[in-house]
Amino acid sequence: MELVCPAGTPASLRAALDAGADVVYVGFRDETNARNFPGLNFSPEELEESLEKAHDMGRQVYVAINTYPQAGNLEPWYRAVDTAARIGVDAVILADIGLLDYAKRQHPELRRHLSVQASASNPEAINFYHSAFDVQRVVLPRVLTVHEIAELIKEIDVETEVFAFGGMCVMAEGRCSLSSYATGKSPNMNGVCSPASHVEYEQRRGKLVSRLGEFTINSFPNEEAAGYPTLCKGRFVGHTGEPSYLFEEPTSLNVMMLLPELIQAGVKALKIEGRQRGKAYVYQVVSGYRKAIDAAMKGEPVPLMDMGNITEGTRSTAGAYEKNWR
Amino acid sequence: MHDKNALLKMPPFTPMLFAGFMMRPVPAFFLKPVAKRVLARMKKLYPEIFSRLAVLENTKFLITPTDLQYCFYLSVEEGQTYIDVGVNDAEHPEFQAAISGPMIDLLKLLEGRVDGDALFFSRALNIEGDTEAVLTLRNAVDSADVSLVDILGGPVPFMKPGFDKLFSKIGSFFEYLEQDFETVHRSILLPITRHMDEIDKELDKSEDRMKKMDKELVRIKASLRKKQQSNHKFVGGMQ
Repeated sequence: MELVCPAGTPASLRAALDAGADVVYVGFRDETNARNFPGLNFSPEELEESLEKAHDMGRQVYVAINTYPQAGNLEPWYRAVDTAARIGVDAVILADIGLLDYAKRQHPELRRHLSVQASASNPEAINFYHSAFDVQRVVLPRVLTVHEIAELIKEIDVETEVFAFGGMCVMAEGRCSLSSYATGKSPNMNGVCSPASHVEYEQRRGKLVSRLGEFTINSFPNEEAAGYPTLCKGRFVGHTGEPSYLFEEPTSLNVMMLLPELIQAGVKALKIEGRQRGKAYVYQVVSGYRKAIDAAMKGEPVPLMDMGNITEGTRSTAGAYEKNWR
Repeated sequence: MHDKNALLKMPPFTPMLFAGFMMRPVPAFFLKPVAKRVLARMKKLYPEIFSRLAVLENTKFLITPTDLQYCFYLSVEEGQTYIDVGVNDAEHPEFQAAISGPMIDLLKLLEGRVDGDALFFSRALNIEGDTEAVLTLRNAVDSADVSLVDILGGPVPFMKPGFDKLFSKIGSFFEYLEQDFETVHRSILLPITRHMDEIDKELDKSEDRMKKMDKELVRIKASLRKKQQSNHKFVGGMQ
């Protein structure tokens, strides 16, 4: 099983390789990827150097070009695909069918993976992407149980990659526009959920208050662990009159204990989320998962490691993988 | 932003807090050349940090170690980065973004030994003001493999191994010291913690009693309603 790890900077990429990543995925420093954060990501020159280092170590680098091109402004996305092909990356991770078509026509030899942003979660959709654009791998949305993944794998002709650790979305991947209502920008179009330019924190009467645009979205008492300032993880006052999490609580995904089942299901690769996180996060999570995968592949018990210090809200969940609410 | 007290939380009980007390007689004036020297070394050793910072146009940061009396003013002006040192209880110059936390966490962050988001989630780190600028700074610093040993011990290469050993010893000593402080902190708080536990237990008992009374009230109301309904029926029957 392949361990696919995030890197927002060349230093994080080195940390991921040192920690045992088989593959590191990165993005260019613009709106063509879903982690378009200030000061983050790779210039073409940095990518070239990093790719050389990874290849020297026998590892691979994928490039995420997984936002949706804007009408009338296709150039940045075409340029990103062309640059990735010229540099010789091992695969590009795409979501938009127009861009998949472009990549297939212009660079047929460039391996194509389907991003989670495409939200392909059934055999018909996945097989269509395979037959139309020769997609070799699909990154599955975080909406399926392990059993459903196993059943799906039997009906498709491409490799599967699933998220194992990191940030959670409200299960509408590639479809979520919540952020754009408050800020005018969304992860799908601009590569940013809750753009930092619209986020504000304030210490007020012993509480940390977070705002997105004009909306107050959370207020954390001093002893409570905080989370990201996203609308889906905001605490709002509903019918009960008490502030509560209406969509999702601040928590991170962690499926370490499900590794044997995912291997059994035939999953090809495990993905760690977090290109926006620091290299300390990357090193800790990748080292932990390296040990866990190696143990699981040998049939040994998975050594469960405490990741509490780096999870959002200092809590984690196996999410939909072990869905027990239906 | 002008509120100089906005970020000043109660400092954590750490060895750094006591180091701060001991350094109190040292005026910030003497630390300025040291900070400037460190920044110059960083510019030389890690140019990638400053190329990522250059996108910020005229941004000033207030960086406050909560367990020291000093603070740092980091500014990016027309692609150049500058640093100055001040004291916490003074009037600060205008700044756009502020970061505060224990000095040891800020140093770990500088060296990329801890994840900034994780520090923020655990509330060890506070940020205010221009969040985009703070993220840019965090990502820029994290893009290089910063080493305090290289910054402070680098000018004379043959001294580097000695510096490595010295820093390693100081690091271990500091970790032991932190554990000792944690123990002392806990023992000082023990009587209060015990008292709080007792209050919590009392509150739990009161909550249980309230719940029982609520249930009783619901039962009494239902029984009253039943009686009223049967009275109505009876009166209706009489008519």
